[in-house]
Amino acid sequence: MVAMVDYAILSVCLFTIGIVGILIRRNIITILMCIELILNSVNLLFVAFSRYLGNVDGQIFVFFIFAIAAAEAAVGLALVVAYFKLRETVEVDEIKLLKG
Amino acid sequence: MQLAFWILSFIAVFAAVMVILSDRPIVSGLFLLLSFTAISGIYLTLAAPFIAAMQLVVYAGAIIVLFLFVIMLLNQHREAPSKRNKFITFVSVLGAILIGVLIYISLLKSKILLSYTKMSAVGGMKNNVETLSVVMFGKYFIPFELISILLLAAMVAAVFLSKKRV
Repeated sequence: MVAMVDYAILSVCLFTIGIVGILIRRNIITILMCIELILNSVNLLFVAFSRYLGNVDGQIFVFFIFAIAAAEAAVGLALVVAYFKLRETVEVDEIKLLKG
Repeated sequence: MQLAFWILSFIAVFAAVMVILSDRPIVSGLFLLLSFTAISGIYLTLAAPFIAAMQLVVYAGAIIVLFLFVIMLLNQHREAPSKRNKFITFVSVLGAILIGVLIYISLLKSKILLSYTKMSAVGGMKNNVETLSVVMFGKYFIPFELISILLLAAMVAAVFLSKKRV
């Protein structure tokens, strides 16, 4: 039998892995991937609670988060491509145009 | 059901770890695809077939392909060796892991989440897609329409950003 807490622990694991990835990776594309990982862990928690409470509202929210994740990936990657055309790099340590 | 959950969650966590450990973006992207597919299987164990299908179509089908396209477009092979201060990186990673451990401990304090009987007792979610569509086009009709405006705005922004002269 799988309890609710197992889904919650899996979600926390994925969330922590995403945060650590944002901190240790230097390629901005990989950082965007880690953000997708974090959004996925939240989705998992939403669906698990929707099942647990017997209420489909959580699944509707997951549907909305899908749309927002798609929009975020599109705009983020467009920004990355635009910056690469300008400066020929996607390393976050090299991106310091606004750093005074 | 139980065996499927444990196998799929192991695959999801393993693939997520490989995403952040690999220093080649294309390998990260392919492991992210594996992680998303495993999570889609976990949605099936939660009796949410519509969300599982959407996970495959939107994440594995659209977002990952977008990522892989951009990685190939920008010709990214391997990250350069880090020039960061090792100590600061170590402390920030430790802090992130501590946040995870804190959430974990607070979950284990919760009595309701630990009950094993509740999870399978939920009925009334037969015919998932029909239930979902009634709620989505009834109670959540306005947010559903607003999402379409958001997607339009994102599309305009992406087209504008990738123009030749901004």
